[in-house]
Amino acid sequence: MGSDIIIKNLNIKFLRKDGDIHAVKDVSVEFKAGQVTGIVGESGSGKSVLGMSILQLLPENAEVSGKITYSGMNILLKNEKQMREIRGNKIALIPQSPSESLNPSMKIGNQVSEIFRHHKRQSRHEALKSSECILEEFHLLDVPRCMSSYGFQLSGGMKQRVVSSFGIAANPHWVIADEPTKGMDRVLETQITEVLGEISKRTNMLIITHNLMLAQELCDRIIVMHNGCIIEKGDSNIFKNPLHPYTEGLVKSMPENGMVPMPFAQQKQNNNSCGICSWCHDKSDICTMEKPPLFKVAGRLVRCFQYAQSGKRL
Amino acid sequence: MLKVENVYKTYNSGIVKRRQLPVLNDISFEIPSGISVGLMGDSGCGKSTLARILIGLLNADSGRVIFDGRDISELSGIEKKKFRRKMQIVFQNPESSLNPRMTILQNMLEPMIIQKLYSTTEQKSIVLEKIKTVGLSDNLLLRYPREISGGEAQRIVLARILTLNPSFIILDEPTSMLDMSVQAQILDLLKRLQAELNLTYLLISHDKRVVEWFTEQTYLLKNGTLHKERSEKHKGLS
Repeated sequence: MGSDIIIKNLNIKFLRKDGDIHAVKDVSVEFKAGQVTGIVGESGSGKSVLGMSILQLLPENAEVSGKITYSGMNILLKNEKQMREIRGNKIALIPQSPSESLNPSMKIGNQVSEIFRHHKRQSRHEALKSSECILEEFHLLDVPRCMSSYGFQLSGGMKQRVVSSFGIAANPHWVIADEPTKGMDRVLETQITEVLGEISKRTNMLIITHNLMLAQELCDRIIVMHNGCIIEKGDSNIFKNPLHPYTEGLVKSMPENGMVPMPFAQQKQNNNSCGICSWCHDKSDICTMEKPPLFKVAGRLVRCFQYAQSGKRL
Repeated sequence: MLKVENVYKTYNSGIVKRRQLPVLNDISFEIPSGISVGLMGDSGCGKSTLARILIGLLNADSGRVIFDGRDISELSGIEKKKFRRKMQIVFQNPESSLNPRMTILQNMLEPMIIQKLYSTTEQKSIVLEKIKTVGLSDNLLLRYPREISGGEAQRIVLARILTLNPSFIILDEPTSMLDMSVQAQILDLLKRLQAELNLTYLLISHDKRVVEWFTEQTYLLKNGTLHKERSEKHKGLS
């Protein structure tokens, strides 16, 4: 299905006049081909920034260091022209908001066929035919009508299906789905989960989401991020038995678990701590003085000093 | 506190061939002071239309909305301005509720300036007080809405509403754009504010679990009619 994406010591800073923001802090992770990986965490945890860095879609004030290897090449060294060959063809994106991602002045058929014309060098007629086929694969009702409609004439579920078809149109090795269910009602969420499930059968996938249930349902591996760092990594059972107190907090804040809130994040966080010391019940003296490394515990990676004895330090 | 009597609303659509789309059909309900009532329904069923009618942003075709004993359609201009202070609304997307060209401080001062309330010094001290009430630091005040997170923006929207001392707040999908951890934080904050300030809430949401957790009484809007789902005693804070 393609190659792994290997990230080594990735640091991403946003340079600002009133102080830089260190959005991703020394992250090293491997996204394995053949597995669906989910990155979860609250807003501002750095999950979307990490995903967008793979496609070099970060704003201009982003300073990126480290290495992102895909098919033996360091993506971070590629220029814009080379990246255009990778985006869509090798690694594609299913963007966050389908309404904002569709061009309101172009018919759906033309928007989908643009991908085939650009990436597959197909003629206009061929591209329209291919577009029809791919939309049919996503079980869109009345595809000819959909192709001749504008984005605003479609329902939320239909728009998400169209945007999802953009993701796999050029047959990429990897698809990155960024917050695919954000702001959607339960009915729509169920439909989108089905669509993503279908995509994950035909290509490697990275799902960035704050929806723990979606991650649990679709992903083979789950990474939990907080404050720019990976704090827990494991299989899809991670939420049934969370090891890190923050992951436990995320699980408890779900509606089905009584919505127990975690305290609001502090404005200024101490970089020499794990970031949740102010409210963690399991904290010890070392937690406020030193940033914990990752410990290997029961097949998982956990960034918490309470596993310093039982786990193996990485 | 709020009484809705036989409200009807129909939208007209089509330019060449006019069609009528009935949205609200004989809606009547009552919300007593100090409690939270939930309003559920599928997307497009008319929940937000009802909210806009309650707050006076949209006129009903017929029926009455009575707030604190007065029919809101009969209020004069000055009375309506006072009424708007008492009844406020929190929208789904906090980022689009704040003016992107204004700092957080300017955004928070604006309602008091429009309502011509307090002196400039008093306005600033109220802003500082309310931003603390929602658990935020005053160093956010000079930032712009794009420079804060979604959860922070929604708390700013709440703090801005509180500057007017409302007694009734409509929460129109206030957490659907936020992640689950922030959703739990915001709903917990709303519950605490309700206990402290004796606020009355109408929570509009499509998430049954959220509505059941947050409210004491729930209504379901389906095919333009309102169905009472549940009526329980106050469930208490988490």
